[in-house]
Amino acid sequence: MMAFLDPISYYLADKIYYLVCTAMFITMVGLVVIKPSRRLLGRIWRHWNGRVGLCFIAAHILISVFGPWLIPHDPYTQFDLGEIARYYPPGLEFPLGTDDRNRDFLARVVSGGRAAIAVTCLTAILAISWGAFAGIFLTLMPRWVDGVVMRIVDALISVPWLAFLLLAMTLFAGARGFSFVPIVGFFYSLAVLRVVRAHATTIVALDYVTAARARGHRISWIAFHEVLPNCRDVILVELAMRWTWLLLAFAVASFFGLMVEIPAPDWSLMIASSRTLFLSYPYLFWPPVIMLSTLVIGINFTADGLAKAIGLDRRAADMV
Amino acid sequence: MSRLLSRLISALFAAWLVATLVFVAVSARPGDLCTTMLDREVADIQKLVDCRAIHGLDKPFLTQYFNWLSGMLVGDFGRELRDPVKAESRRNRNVSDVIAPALDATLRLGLISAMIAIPLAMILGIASALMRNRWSDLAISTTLIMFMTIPEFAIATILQGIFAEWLGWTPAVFFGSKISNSSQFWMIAPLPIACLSLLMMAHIQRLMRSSMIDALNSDFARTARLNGIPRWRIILLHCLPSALPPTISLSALTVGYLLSGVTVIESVFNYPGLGRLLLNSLYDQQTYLAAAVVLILALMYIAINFVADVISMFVDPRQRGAA
Amino acid sequence: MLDIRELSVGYTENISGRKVEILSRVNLSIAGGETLGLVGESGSGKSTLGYAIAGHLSGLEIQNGSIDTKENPRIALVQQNAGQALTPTMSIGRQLNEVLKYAQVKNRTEKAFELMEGVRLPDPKSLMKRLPHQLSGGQQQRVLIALALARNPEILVLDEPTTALDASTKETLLELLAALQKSQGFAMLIVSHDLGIIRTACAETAVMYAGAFVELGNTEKIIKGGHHPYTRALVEALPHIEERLLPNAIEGTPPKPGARPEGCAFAPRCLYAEDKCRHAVPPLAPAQDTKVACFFPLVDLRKTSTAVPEPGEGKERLLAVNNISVQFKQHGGQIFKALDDVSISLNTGETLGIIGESGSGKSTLLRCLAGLQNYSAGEMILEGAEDFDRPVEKRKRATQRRLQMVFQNPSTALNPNHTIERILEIPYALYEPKSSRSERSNAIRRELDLVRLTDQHLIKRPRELSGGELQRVALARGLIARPDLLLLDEITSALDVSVQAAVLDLLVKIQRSVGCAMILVSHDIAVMRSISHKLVVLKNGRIVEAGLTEQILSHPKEAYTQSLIKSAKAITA
Ligand SMILES: Nc1ncnc2c1ncn2[C@@H]1O[C@H](COP(=O)(O)OP(=O)(O)OP(=O)(O)O)[C@@H](O)[C@H]1O
Ligand code: SF4
Ligand SMILES: [Mg+2]
Repeated sequence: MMAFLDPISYYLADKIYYLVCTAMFITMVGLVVIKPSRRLLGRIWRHWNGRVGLCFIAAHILISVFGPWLIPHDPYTQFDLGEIARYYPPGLEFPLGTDDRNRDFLARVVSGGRAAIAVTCLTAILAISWGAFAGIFLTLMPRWVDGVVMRIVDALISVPWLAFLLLAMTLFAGARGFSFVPIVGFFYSLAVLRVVRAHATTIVALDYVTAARARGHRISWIAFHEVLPNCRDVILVELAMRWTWLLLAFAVASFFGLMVEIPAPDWSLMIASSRTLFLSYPYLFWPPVIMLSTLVIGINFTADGLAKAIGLDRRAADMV
Repeated sequence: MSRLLSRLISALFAAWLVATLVFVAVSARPGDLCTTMLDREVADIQKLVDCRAIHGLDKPFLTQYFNWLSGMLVGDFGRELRDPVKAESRRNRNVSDVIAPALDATLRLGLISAMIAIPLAMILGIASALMRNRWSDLAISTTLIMFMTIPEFAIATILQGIFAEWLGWTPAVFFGSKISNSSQFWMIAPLPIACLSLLMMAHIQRLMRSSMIDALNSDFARTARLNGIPRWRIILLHCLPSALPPTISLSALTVGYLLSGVTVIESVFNYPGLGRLLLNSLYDQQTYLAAAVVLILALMYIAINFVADVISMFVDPRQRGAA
Repeated sequence: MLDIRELSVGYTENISGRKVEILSRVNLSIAGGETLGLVGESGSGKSTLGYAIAGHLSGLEIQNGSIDTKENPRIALVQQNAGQALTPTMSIGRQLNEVLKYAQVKNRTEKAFELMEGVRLPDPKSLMKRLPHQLSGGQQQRVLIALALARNPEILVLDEPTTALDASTKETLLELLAALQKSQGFAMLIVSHDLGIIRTACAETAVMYAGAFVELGNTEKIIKGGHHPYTRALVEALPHIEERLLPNAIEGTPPKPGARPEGCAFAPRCLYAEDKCRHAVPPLAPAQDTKVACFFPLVDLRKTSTAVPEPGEGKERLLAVNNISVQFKQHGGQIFKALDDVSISLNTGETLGIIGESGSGKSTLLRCLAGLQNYSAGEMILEGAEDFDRPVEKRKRATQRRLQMVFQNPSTALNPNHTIERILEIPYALYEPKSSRSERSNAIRRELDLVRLTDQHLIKRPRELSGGELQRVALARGLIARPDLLLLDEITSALDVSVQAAVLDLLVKIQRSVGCAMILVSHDIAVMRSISHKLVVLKNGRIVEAGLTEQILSHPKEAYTQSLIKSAKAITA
């Protein structure tokens, strides 16, 4: 059998990242411009955590879209600074100093989320679309199909994803980076499936679904036209929530050196390598930590605000 | 009782399915155990055949599967292989001998953190539900959310930096391959326990808070208020029993994530538990060992969820009545 | 005992800081041993007044006026929805014991038994050990009353005490309350939207509209000849159990708090409104034998109800169900017969009523006809359709089209995500897949017109419409297929009486113009009497009596039917 995917191509991740960022930027502008979504944003804004979340996300998008233009240095260039061979302290030239190879740390911090955002975005979309699809269809299937599948899901959900990811990586040496997408995506989709199914069950019990069945519509029609639109809110919140957990998951995997190749900038790798320097060079430790956490908090809080704005019980969507 | 039984059956089914999954993953990799092992040596067909005979890899797939499964049942997880041919070599220990101390260390770590974190988080959750949307609730919730969103290795590093390197209260990392006595354990354990507890608390506090708010806003809480029952009794005797079960079972579900957290924390502190063992076996290409650790982690998860179900059955008389 | 003056209750909006009144300037007084009824449509502020009296206004504030009571009164309130109002994790005995403990009662066990017997709960000893979900709805309601009585109240407020109960349980509960009041002498305030139970239980009645009292006085006088236009309209909207007459609807919807009109709140819907009404608020002032808040109280007593037409001539057989049975497997393998050997038949253009208590199998029968439920024996024949005995997904489109269903609760029967236009378009597009855009929009408009809605409704979504409007949309959705048979499952029981009247009126008009047959399921005999031609009485899955509605209701043969009619009469206006 073949390995899941080729080792991560940072190039590819970079492209996806730009796509994601541009899409987010356009969405952001669109959300503000288009009226109904502006109303939704307004409702998220009303909750304090939604407000904090939106601010953090907007800051991240702005930094990642415009940051590389404003920063004079490239994250890969190693500077020759005479006596000081590494760890150049923060100053005018290098606002955050330089790292162990004398690379501009600010440039690295600004572009350090690329692989994480690209890979986790793909994973979240995969997990959500597959989980939501299966969750909705299960509720319309005969009872025994649902029973059997849920038993299997309950069993599979008990595999700790990190352990399984590690196992897969021992077995398929070289399966790095993008194999995160199918493996972790699959395990996260199980949790999504449970949440969406729980919600869809309440919807399928409602009379408008019965009415559609009595009219003679096919199951697939009912799933897409009657059930899916009413699960949209749950799915949206799930997407945001899963994305935050996936960012953390990616960070952990990357911390173990499983995700990106060494010279590429990545927040977790930066944290991992400056870990021992935590007290002596705090400026190499805190910026990536802050960047990663603010992104996670931003998405998490926005999802929270979104859930409150649309009046959803968020407990079920908590991490599983 | 029938309910308990059906939970037990589905737990056993889950265990079986996971075992099968791990076995399939192990056997589906390119080549087999012996080709990986012998990769570094001269490719010698005879050696390969010998090796396969020793490990039963020449048998049909299904026989291998049943051997493996029955081995699991009696705690025989295969062998940790350094030298694939000489099965009697000193370094080829049984996997179970390697796992036992690691499992012990991880369980100790996990249980102590759970005993600290769960009650504390529940109390904090109830407290913030009672003071919901006031500054104290905000303070508790946001602090804990911070710990939830900062990656665990960063938290571990920060604690290490402050308490071990700066204040020098504990050693930063553990040296050695296993914990031999309890004073050694208490030397190294405080920081990992603190880390793991913080990781757990955020989730449980959130769940407890929202279940408790639901219960406090319910019609039955209002009836109790209308009938002149004092506030503390409403909270403890009327609301808590219905708020606890969902919290317990949902927290048990988050354990899967926490088990991954254990791996990280153990590796940061070099704590000789299952997580570190898993990572080491990954770097050493110790397939059977890695598979066994994954399996044990999954079984732990299944067991925890089973226990959580049983506990909620005891807390909530509705579920007991149906049993 | 209780004296309320100029009480206004409301809340302050978060962002704008605007004060919104839910109750406005309510005056009320009750003496010990008296019973006051409080009627009004949903959202009129009845429950809010109850909570204000009990001193538990969560999230609301008293904006004006006062509630005067004698010192430290003992006020008990029995909440709406008994099912959710008892702590689910605590046994009945413990809940009673706890309340008694904090009411400082000495012999708690004895007193608990006394209370349980007082509310006529059977076998108190075993009930004490049970959890709330192991009781029936009526028993839960009685436990809740026992809890309230445990503190020996001087004022007892009951919020919708009978909503979840069927007719005979209702009757016994009301008798029980009267007996308890006699022995303990407390004052009672019964809040309900049901004029029937108010008439049975209360000597005095206050009619509420949009947070204010519009009429206050002797119950009989209010019901027989209220002077406020709203009171009169409300009474006329009730279906008649004695006569075959259609009730009268009140057009329009009640205003929401914060959107109440200046002047008389009823003015937009009032047939007698004049300019003055739109500027000044009429005070509650004595007028003849009651107190009325109206500038132009009504004097004459006229009745405007219309009779229901009989189905026309030339009827043909449409549907026959012969000896059908449906079984469910229960936990533990027992077999439960939801329908047992049931036969019905129906001609074109007729309305068949199916009546029975909850659990008698009414909805199961409809689900069988709709092809949503498998049956174990018997046959179903729809003229001209040979695939009618199959489940719905195996029927031909033409057969599916001939039978349409409308559900009890309009707010769950319409997809909240679709616009009204889309809701109506879906069935039309399903049955007329080749239709052009303009054909579809013509059909939609035609249907809207038929149920008396306008084009403005097309772009709205269900949550923007009121219950009555929603039920009309649901009807239109069924009618757009031009079915031969319309299945109506309790379609008026989730609606207020005034809206119910409008829907019943609409059904009769639709049948006259479209000519489809209808099967109407209901537990309300008066509704049946006003519109159904034939009637089937179901009990525990078996037919008790079947025949022409008039005949059965005026000369019931079976004891069960007689008792149904008797308890319905006992508590209707
Ligand atoms: N805490 C609150 N905040 C805002 N609005 C409220 C609050 N409580 C009640 N209302 C509003 O006040 C109005 C009256 O409510 P109330 O529950 O008293 O009506 P009701 O007559 O008892 O209706 P029903 O027959 O449906 O029980 C409703 O429109 C309701 O939405
Ligand atoms: S005051 Fe005028 S509008 Fe109000 S009820 Fe009387 S007649 Fe109608
Ligand atoms: Mg009410």
